[in-house]
Amino acid sequence: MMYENIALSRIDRENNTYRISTEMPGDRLKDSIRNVGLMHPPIVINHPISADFVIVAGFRRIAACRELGWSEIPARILPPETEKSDCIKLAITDNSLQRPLNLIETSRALHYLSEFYQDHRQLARESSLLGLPENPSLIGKIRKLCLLPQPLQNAILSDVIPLAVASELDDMPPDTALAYTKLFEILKPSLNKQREILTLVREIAHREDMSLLNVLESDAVEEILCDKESDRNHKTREIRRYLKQRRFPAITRAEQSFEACVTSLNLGKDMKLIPPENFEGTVYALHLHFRNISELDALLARLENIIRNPSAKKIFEPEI
Amino acid sequence: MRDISKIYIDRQIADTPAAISFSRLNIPCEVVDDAGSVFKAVASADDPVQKGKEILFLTRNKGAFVRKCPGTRHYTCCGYKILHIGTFCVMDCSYCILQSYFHPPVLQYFVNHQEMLAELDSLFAEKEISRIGTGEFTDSLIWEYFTNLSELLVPKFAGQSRAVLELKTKTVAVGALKHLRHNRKTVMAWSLNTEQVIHTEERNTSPLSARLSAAATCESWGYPLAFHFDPMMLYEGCENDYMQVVEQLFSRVSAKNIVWISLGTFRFMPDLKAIVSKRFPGSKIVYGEFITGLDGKMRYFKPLRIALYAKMAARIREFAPDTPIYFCMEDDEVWQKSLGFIPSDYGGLAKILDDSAVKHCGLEI
Repeated sequence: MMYENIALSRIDRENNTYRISTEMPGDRLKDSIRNVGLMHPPIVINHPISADFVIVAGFRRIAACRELGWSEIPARILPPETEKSDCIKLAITDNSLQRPLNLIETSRALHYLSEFYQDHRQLARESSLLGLPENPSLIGKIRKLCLLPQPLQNAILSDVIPLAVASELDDMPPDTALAYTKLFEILKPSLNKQREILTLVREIAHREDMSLLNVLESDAVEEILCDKESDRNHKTREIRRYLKQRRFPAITRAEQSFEACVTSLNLGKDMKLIPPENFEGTVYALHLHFRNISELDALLARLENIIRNPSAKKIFEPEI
Repeated sequence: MRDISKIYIDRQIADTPAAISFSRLNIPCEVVDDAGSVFKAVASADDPVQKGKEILFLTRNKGAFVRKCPGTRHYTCCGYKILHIGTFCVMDCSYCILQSYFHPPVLQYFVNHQEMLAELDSLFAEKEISRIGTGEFTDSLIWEYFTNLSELLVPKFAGQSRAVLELKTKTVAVGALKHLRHNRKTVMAWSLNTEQVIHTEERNTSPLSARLSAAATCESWGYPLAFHFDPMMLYEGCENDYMQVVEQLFSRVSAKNIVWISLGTFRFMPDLKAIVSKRFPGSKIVYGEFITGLDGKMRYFKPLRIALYAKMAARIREFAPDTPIYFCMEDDEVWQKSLGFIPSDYGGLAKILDDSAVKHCGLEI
């Protein structure tokens, strides 16, 4: 490997063969280079067919130098016969040993490596040596993230979409994955709520013989998302409620009917009627809150009226 | 059976007549020292359920042949007994609970028949009536093409009057039953479902019309019959479809020869959902309106079950007012709202079914 000053104009700025980093150079990097110079020269290799150079490591440093108006930089030039796999390892090491890689950067690194290590165990071993994950299952989930549509990668980078959800979206057609991305960007729901939405939409699509996209882009969902009066927590609640109602129509009707009956019983804050779980059992519970005998006595008097209320009968003998 | 690619034979039973008869089939055989290698071959496959249907393991039943049907205290059980002749099945129903019941699912056939017959003798010596069947952990008749099990069991039950054997199937493999002395102590039973469910969810099973023809044939040979609408599936138009099955049933067999008819809607342990989704990606059955039942199984929302049961029971009663209709694992509320009574009104479900067995099969208490 030799060190040489090379013209920035000879470095191919379009070639991302070895790019790991997802970020552009920040002010701190530019300030540092401006003040103390380029402490760690980037690594480049001759372009296979032109006289230009391809960046192996140092994309952000080179971009920063360009932004600072430099015309040439010191660089370490790899011998032209250097194997691609060695270039990739240099690129990964240069990044992963300096700072923790984000998920997309890790994905790029694993994706590049997997070109040379098709065997899962070999890939895991090499990955571990380069400071990347060594668990084959985790590698499998991360490896293809860098191939996802860019908005989805952005959502992963901004922590809107967790890895578990990203790998599920990875199995979907791009337009569907993008529709989920848009939804989760707006609502920013927790992992559990994202999973719940994914499951409900998938099962509705199965039940109704339609695509996931059709469910996601239904008028009702759009209407909730476009409501300017409600915040994202309210929208999340409404979307979940809508999807649940569509997935479990009879159960939702029964729950709503029960709630309506309970409301018309006017139980007040000191009585609570609890139905059997899922209406599967037959035992209802009534919780009474009181501080003394006279309060209990008053509750019992109200209870007698409640028992005679037609809504009480409707609770125990619902229409099928 | 046509898809079995290999037979493993437990060395302990390799020289029994049953094992020898299997080894004469044109299927590669391997004698093994223990079950571990067989279970490993199944468990390590990409689709252990499918693999389990392609490998047959001949071995001995190391546990009891006669077992109580597992029930739970939350729902009414019929007091059935299981005759444990083997495990798993070569047919491939999407809803089959055996896919997640056995770990891994291995097609096993138990050949230590002398021990089985000894246990049956003990059962026959009991003072109470027994209803016992082979169709819980496997299909009763898939073994007919390769074994003489029916020739062993049917005459065995014919020679006593305390127990009735139920052979429950989705096949039409009844040929061997024609000349057997049954003395009406063997009830021939079929699982029935709608044409749509059979077509979409029951791979490698016989069509509905063929099952009913086989039932009619068995009736002509003097066998009492039973039918199980289980698992019934809820889908758009299912009620009409099930009514049509009821009509077809009674156009082929006589109500007076039916010992009992059971109804049960689809229920499953939660583990089964992932298996069905993976093995039957086009199937919708796990996307019904299920809740978690009191026994931890997923069940259709109760009012939906009751609505279908009530319609089915009403239609069946139009054809067979005296035939007991019963539910497998439902509670008193479902009984009352669907059938208009609860089992305890008549001494309990076991007694209702025992009485019918006495009446149709000539059992003596």
